[in-house]
Amino acid sequence: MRVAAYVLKRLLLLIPVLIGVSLIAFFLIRLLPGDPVLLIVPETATEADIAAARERLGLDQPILTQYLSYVGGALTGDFGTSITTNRSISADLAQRIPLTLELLIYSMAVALVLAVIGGVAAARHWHKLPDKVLRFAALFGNSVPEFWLGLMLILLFYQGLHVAPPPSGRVDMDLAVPTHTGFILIDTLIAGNGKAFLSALHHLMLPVATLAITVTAPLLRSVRASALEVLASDNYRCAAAHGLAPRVLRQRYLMRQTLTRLPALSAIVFGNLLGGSVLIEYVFSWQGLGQWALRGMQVRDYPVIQAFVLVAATTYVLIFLLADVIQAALDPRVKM
Amino acid sequence: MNTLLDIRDLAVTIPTADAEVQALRGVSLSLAQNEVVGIVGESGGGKSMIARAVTHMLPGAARMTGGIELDGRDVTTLTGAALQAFRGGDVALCFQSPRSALSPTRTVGKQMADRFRAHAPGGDLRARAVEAFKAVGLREPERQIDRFPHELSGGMCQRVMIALALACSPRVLIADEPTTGLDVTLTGEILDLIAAQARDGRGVLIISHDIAALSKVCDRLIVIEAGRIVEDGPTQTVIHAPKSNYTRRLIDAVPDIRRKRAVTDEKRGETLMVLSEVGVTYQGRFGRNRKPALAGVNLEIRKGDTIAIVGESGSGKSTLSRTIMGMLKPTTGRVDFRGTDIARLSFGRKRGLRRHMQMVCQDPLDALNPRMSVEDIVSDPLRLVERDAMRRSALIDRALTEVGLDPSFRTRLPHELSGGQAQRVGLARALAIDPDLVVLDEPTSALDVTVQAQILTLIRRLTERRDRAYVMVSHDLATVRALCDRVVVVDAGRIVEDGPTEQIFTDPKSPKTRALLDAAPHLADRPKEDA
Repeated sequence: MRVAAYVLKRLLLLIPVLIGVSLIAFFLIRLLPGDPVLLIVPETATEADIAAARERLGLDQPILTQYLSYVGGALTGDFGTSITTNRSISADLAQRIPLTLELLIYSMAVALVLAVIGGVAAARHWHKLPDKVLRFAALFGNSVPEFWLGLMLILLFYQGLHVAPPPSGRVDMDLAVPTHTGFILIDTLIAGNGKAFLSALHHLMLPVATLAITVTAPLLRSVRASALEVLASDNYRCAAAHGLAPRVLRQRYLMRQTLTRLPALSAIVFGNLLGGSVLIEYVFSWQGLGQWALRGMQVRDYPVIQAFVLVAATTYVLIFLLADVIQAALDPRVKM
Repeated sequence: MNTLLDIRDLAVTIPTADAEVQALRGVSLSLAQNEVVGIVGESGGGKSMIARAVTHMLPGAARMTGGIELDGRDVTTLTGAALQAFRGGDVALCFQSPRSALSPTRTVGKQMADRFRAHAPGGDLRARAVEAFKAVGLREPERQIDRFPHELSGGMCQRVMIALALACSPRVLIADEPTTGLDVTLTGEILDLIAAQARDGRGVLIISHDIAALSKVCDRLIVIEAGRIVEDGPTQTVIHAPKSNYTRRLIDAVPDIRRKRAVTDEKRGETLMVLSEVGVTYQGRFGRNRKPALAGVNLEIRKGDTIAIVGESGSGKSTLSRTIMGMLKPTTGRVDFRGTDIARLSFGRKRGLRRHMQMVCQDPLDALNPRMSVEDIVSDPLRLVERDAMRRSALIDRALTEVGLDPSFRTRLPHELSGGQAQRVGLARALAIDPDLVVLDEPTSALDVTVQAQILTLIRRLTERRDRAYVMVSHDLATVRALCDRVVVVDAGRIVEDGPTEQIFTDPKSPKTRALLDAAPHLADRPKEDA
């Protein structure tokens, strides 16, 4: 009950955040140099043609009127239409958000598992071989640019070893399944198509690996540092001094305390992931939100950029909320 | 009596970056069944190393030589499952500062169950845990069992710690500084509880710096200085006929509550501060109001005053001192400093107050920024009054000299200072600016006894000049009697007694005051009844 009240309070906080973000997004992009109208009209267009296009897009209205009508539409779920493609933004979002989310969630999950197992192992073998190897690997993952890593993985596993599918699409063409949720792994399961499920996993393999490798490093370092701290703490030593079994020590006294710090950092890392996904989607021709926003940015497609900023802000707020709830669940000292 | 634990010629060497530290040198001692032995000495003397050596908890790089036998069995070479059974099952350690020695993410009941599972599984673990907590005097064990350590008080944590150590029914119980951070009333109770475990063939080893407290519960005292045993004998002999100079110094440093203060003329100057009907209520979770931490407090502080605020932990004395400092905004009432209600001051105006009021904190090392040199630490408050760097530098020298530190200390960093030196720097920082009012928050409780005596001498020298007002928060009544003119006793957020020191000590009116006086530590003077 307490948790529910807390979550509700935090969700209400989303309202002012979104108002602020929408204001900033709306006005700032209009300050950017570049006129979207000039990009969409043919080169031979006359002044009159341009004015007509401007009027058609509603860009001739006073800016405040434009903002209010945008907010009015957004409240009813209508984020307008793309200036360049004339497609409904809402339809684009519904189609693309699951693609990106799928990529992010799996990468995050893989990174977390690697970081926790690796970080605790490194701490338990402090300054010995496993620790050194893991720290070097983490440093490597941290220092390579993700798009380069993605390209190298494609080169090695697709072109070289032929174990990965070509970097396009989410599932082999002949195995397409009807869309229900937009999440390909879930959709293939709904369709009961095992082969398509495996194919989807296969397609996810490289992009998820790329993203996971690049974000594991900061998480692993943090887990290692917390685990070292717990191992050196009085409470862990006390439990050890009372002769508890190694397995109990590891699971009940080391792990739980080590994990209490992870959610906050994970939320920040998730933000990096969202940024990193833009390039990765490009490298793997992944038709997600990142690519869509990138193209919108290039052609000053105002509604696209605005919608992306709102989606990103909402994601941040929700991720940090989730992180706080998990943290409170892990650490009884945290008050909500 | 049968010898239980026998330590022979124990030496521990810890290599550091610069040199090797000899933590223990040739320590031999024994503990018999049903015996309570106290190991006393100052911090850094190596007394905790003995407990660590016995339980195989020495720091990683440490090297150990010598023999440790339990019931004639060599225990220095135990490994794996045998070591696990030995730790806790044969020798159980009560860690210093129990709150940090209990896992923060596990309820105390579960931590207890873990111990049972390791050494004596079976039965209803929950019921057994309740029983074990009840045995150490934890109130309402059924309720506490599902709580986390941070939800318990310091005294309760210490009881839980003792219960956890006893859970494994060890042959030897070792308590490492079990009373640090506890107030006087609790110190006595906890030591009695620990000493009472020396029965059914179990031996108890208590490690402490507090020779007065140990003298009341131990059969035998072992005094350690710089890693060596300098004295070992029956408690009465050690405290009444000490052979070693070091023991004598430890005993002399115990502030004697029965020693009267040389009464000085009461020279009271102008009124500095008046608290009228001050109440403080901390906001609880979700804005719920909790029990008030202070209620209806009236207090007048005048120049030249040396006032002690005494009370048990949780009585509200820290809240009161922070209210005086203007660090807490009272919920009700006024705090007037020279006629201005400081509770209603803006943040910026409050900063101006710091020219007139300064504070010295309890844990000196904790209160100094580890990355700042002594010079910078003392210089900071001076910036409020002196913009010229040269003149400021002269003031720093003066302040350091005033607290008995050589100006060459200016370039030192806090970690290069001993506890006593750090507290001197804390005093210098507070005094450099020449404030009218200084609040000392338990200025000696984190220090070793001999250092405590030195710092108290320094504080007395300062207070006797009567050029400002000192407010000292303390639970140590002996110190208070030696230093302060006036005592304010706080209990449950209210002032229950306020009067001249001698009157409070000779003729206490409130039962709370009497309880505090009875619990105050002094060396045991009667032979202990033989068990």
